[in-house]
Amino acid sequence: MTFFFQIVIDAVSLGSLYALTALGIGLLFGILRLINFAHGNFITIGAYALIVPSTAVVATPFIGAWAWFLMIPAIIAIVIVVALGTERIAFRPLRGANMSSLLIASFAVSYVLDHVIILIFTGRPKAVNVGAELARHISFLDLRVPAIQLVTIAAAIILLGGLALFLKRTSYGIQMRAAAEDFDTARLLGVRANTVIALAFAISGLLAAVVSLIFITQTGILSFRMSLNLVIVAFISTVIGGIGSLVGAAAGGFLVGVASVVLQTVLPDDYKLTRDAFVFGFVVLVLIFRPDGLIVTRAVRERV
Amino acid sequence: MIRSVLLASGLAVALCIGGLVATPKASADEPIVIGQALDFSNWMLTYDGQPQRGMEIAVEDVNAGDLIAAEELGLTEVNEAKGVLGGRKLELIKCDTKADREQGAKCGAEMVQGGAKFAAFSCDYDMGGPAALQYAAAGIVGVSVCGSDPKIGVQGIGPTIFTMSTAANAQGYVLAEWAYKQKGWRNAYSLLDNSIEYDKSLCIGFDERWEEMAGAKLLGKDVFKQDDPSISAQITAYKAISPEPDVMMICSYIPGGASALRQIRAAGIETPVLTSESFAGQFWFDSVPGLANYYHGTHGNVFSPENFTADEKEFLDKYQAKYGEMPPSSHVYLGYSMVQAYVKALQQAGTDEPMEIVKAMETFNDVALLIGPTTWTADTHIQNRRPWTFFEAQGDGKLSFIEKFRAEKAWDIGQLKAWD
Amino acid sequence: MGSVGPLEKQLRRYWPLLSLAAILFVIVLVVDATGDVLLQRTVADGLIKLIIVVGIYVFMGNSGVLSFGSIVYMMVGAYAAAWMTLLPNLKKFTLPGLPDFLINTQLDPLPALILAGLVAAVVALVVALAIMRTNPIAISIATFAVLAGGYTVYNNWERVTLGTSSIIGLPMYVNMWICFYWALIVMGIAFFYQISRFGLALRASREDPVAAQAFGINIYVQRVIAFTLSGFIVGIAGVLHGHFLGILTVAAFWVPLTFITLAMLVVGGQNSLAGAVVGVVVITAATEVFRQLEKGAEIGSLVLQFPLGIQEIILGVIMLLIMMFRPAGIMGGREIPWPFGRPKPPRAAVTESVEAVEAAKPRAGD
Repeated sequence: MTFFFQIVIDAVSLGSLYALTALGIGLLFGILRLINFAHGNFITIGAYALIVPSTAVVATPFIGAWAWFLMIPAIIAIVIVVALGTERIAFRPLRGANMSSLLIASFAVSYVLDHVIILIFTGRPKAVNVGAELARHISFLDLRVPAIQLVTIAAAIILLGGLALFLKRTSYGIQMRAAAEDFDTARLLGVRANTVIALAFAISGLLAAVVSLIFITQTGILSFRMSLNLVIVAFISTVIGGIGSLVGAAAGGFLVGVASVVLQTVLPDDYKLTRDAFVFGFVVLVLIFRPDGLIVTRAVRERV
Repeated sequence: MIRSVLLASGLAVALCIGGLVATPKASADEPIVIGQALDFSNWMLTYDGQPQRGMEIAVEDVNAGDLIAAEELGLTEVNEAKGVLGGRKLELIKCDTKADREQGAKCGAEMVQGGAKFAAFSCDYDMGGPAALQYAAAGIVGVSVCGSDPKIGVQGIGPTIFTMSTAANAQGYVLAEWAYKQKGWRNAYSLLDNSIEYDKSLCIGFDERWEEMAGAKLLGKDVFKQDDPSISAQITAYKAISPEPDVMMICSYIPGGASALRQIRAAGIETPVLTSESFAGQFWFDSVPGLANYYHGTHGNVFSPENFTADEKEFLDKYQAKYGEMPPSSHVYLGYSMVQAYVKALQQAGTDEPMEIVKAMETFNDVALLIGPTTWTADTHIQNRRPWTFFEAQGDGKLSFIEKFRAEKAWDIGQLKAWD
Repeated sequence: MGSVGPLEKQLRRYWPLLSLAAILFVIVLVVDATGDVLLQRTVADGLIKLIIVVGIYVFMGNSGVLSFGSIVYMMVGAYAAAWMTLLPNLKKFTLPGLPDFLINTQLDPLPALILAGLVAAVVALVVALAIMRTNPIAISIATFAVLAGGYTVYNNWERVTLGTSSIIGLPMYVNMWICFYWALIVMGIAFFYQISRFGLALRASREDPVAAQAFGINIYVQRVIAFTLSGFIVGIAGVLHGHFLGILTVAAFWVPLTFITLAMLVVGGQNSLAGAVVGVVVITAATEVFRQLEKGAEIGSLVLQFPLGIQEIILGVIMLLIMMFRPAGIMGGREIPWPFGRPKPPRAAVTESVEAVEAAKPRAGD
C-alpha cells in the first residue's frame, strides 16, 4: 500500500511539472498560434542565471547563493524580462504571420539563445546546488518523499488556481481568455492585443521560472540542452488536452506525467525503454479520434 | 535574389579555394601533420576538449625536444633532434565538428586534404564515426581520442582505425572485479541510462563479469533516460529491493548521471555508488552536496597531487603553465599519449606511411605511455585490460586516490571478429 | 498567347523547373571545376538537404498544412536502404532481427534506393490515411507525434536498427553528382505534381477549403496523395544521407534536422518550389561562409575571424530577420518568373487557384 501511494506521489509530482510547462506553452499557443520552442530556453536561462557567467569548468553560484526569498523573485524577474524581450524583439514584428513562420521564428530564437548560452558558459554541463533541503526526503504520513515533490504539487495547485482566478475574475484575465478562444473576434470587441500578448508572455515567463527552479532543485545540474525533452513532452501534452484550452494543457501535461511514471513502473524491463513510444502512440490516437483534444474549445473547430 | 544567391555561393567558393590550395608533399624537412577533427564548441567538448589540449602540449614538447618519458619509450633521439624521423617537426591542423555528423565527415575529409596521415576523431563512436570513415576511406591512420566502443577498430570502421581508450565492456569488467575483490561487495544493483551505447556496453560488461564471480549476485537492474527530469519511480522501485545491495553501479554520464545521483542521495539511499570515466571528474560535485560513499574508476589521476607519478606531475605542470588551471578530467592524458604513440610508431617504422604506422602500432605491447600500458594487436585496436585508477569521495567534496587496479580477466573482443 | 510559338510556350510552362535546374547545374559545375573535395562535400550535403526540403514542400507547400514530422520518413528510407545494401554476413551478426529474406539479399544501390523510397512512401501512406481526416493543426501535431514515436521505436529496436549505436559498412557511393541527379529528379516530381490535377486541387484547397470542397475536391484524398509522395522523396534523401556518410545513427533524425530543414523551407518561402530551393541554397551558403569566417578568412589585407560559436547566433538572427521582413519567405510564394517579356500576372497563386478550380470542374458532377 505504501508502495502504491509512493507511486501516486511520484506520478502526481511529475505530472505537475509537465502541467506547469505545458501551461506556459499552451497559453501562447492558444492566443498566438505560436508553438514556442523558446519556452525551453526560458527554463534554461532561469537555471543558468543561478551561476556566475563564465567559461570555467567549476561553476560559482551567483543568484543561487542568495537567500531563497531573494533568489526566487530574482529568477522570476529575469525570466519574465527575457520572455518579454523575445516578444518585443522577435514575435511582435511577426504578429499575424502564419503558424509555420511563427514556429520557425521561435526556432530561430531558441537557436540563438542556445548558442548565447554556449558562448557564455560553454557547452559543458555545470553543477549548482540550490534547495538541497528541499531535495531531501521527508516523512509524510507513512511515506518518505522528497519535499520537492510536494513543493512541485503545491506550486502547480497554487499557480493553476491563481491563474484560474486571474482568468475568471479580472478584466485582463477575461480578455486573455477571449483572445485564446478567438483572437480575431476578441480584438474586434476591444481587447488590446499588445497588452494581452505581453501579459501572456509574462505569465509564461513566470511559469518557466518556476519550472526551472523546481527542475534545478531536483537535478542540481545545468546543460544547455536540459529542457528540450521537457518542452517536447509539454508540447505534446497541450495537444492531448486540447489546443487553445488552458485547462486542457494543464490536464494534458498532468496525464502524460502520470502515464510516464505508471508505464515506467508496470512495464516489463525489456519494454521500459519504449515507454515514450506508448505515450506518443496515445497522442496519435487522441488526435485521430478526438482531434480537438480531450477538452474542446471553439477555437479549433475548423474555421473552415 | 538569384544574383545574391549566386554571389553568396561564389563567395563561399572563393573562400574555400583561398583556404585550401596547399597540399604538402613529403620531404625531409616538411612538418608531419596531425589532424584533429574534434568538437571545439558544442556539447562534445566535455569529452573532446581535454584530449585536444593534451595533443597540443605533446606536439609542443616534441618540437621543443622535451617529450615526457622519452627514455622509457626509447625516443631519446626525438628529443635530441627536436623532431621525429631525424628532426621533422609536428604540426596540428584542426576542424570543429560542432558535434554534427555531416560536419564531422567534412572535417574528416578536410584533415585528409590537409595532408594529415594520422588524425584524431571525436570520443564517441556515433559522433566520431563519420570522420573516422573518411580516414579509413583515405587509408590514413585515425585514432579516437577517447571512444570506448569496440566497433571503432578493425572490426568496425576499418583496419587503420584505433582508439586510445579502454573498451566500455572492459571498463565494466575492471569495475566489477575491483568492487568484488578490493571492496568485498557481493550484492550489486545496476542502473542504466539507456540513451547512449557506451552506457549500455558498460553495464553489460559489469553485469556479465559480476555474475561470473563466485558468490556475487545481481539483485536488480533498472533503466532511466539521460534527460528524465525525475527518476523518482526508479528510486521507489529500488527501495523495495531487499536486502539492500552493497553497491549500485550507475552507467550514465554528466549531466543526467549527476542528476540521478542527486536524487538517489536525497532519497536517503546511502548505498555505495560506482561509476566509470563518463562521470568525468569532480566538477559536478556541487550537484550532490556532501557526496559520500562514491567510488569512481577512470583512466588516470589528475585529482590527488600527492599520488602523481613523476611523468604525470611533469605533464600537469606544463598544462598549468599553458592553460592556467588544472585539467578537469584524466582524459587529457589520452591526447598526450596519442602523440607519444604516433612518435614511437614513426620512429619504429622509419616512415610516415600509414600502413607502416599501423603495423608498428599493432606491435605495441604494454608500452608505457603517459596514460598507462598500452597494447594493440592486429585484431584489437582498443584497450581491454589497461589498469584503471580508482578514487573515492567521502563527503569532502573531492576525489581521493585509492589505487590503480588491473583486471585479471580481459574482455574478449572475439565476438566482434565476425564483422570482417 | 496566340503569337507565342509552341516551343516558347513549353519553355514558359516549364520555366520554374528549368530555371531552378539551371541554377543548381551552374553551382555544381563551378564547384566541380574547382576540384575542391571539401566544397563538393558541402554542396552534396546541401543537395541532400534540398531533396528533404523539396519533399516537405510537396506536402506542406501545396496543402498549407505544417508538417513537423517528415524526418521520420527519411529515417525509414535510410534504414530500409541499409537493410538492403549491407553485406549479408554483417547483417547476420549485427541485425539478427531482420527477416531472412532481407538478411540474405544484397541489392545494388539503385534498386535499393528506389525500394527504400517506396518503403518510406508506404509508411507515409499508412500514417496519412490515419491522420489526414482531422483539422490542419491536429494534423501537423500528429505528424510530430509520429516522428517522436518512430524515433523512440527505432532507438530501441536493437535487433533491426542497432538501437542507439550506429550502423556502419554502408557502401559510400554517393557523391555530389549523384545528389545533383536526384535533386533534379525530385524537383521534377514536385513540379509535375504541382501542375497536375491533383496538385492543383490541393493548392485550391489550401487557398479556400470551402470553395474547393464545393467544387468536389476531396481534401482528405488529396492530402493523402501529397503526403505519400512527400514521404517517398524524403525517404530518398534518407538513403542518400546514409550512403553519403557511410554511417547511420537514429539520433541524426530528430528535432535539430527537423528544424533546420523546416527553416530552409520557410525562409525560402513555403508556397513555391523556388522557395524551397532558394531557402536551401541561401542557408547552406551562409553556413559555409560563416564556417570559413570562423576559421579566419583573408579578404584583401583584412583578416576576418569570428569567435568560435558565433556563426550559429548570426545564422539564427538572419533567419529571424528574414521572417520579420519577408514573412512569406524570400520568394514570397512565387516561382522564378519568365525573364523575357510579358510578365505573368504577379500573384501566381491566384491564377493557380483558378486553374485548379477549372481542373477540378469535371469532377464536380461525379
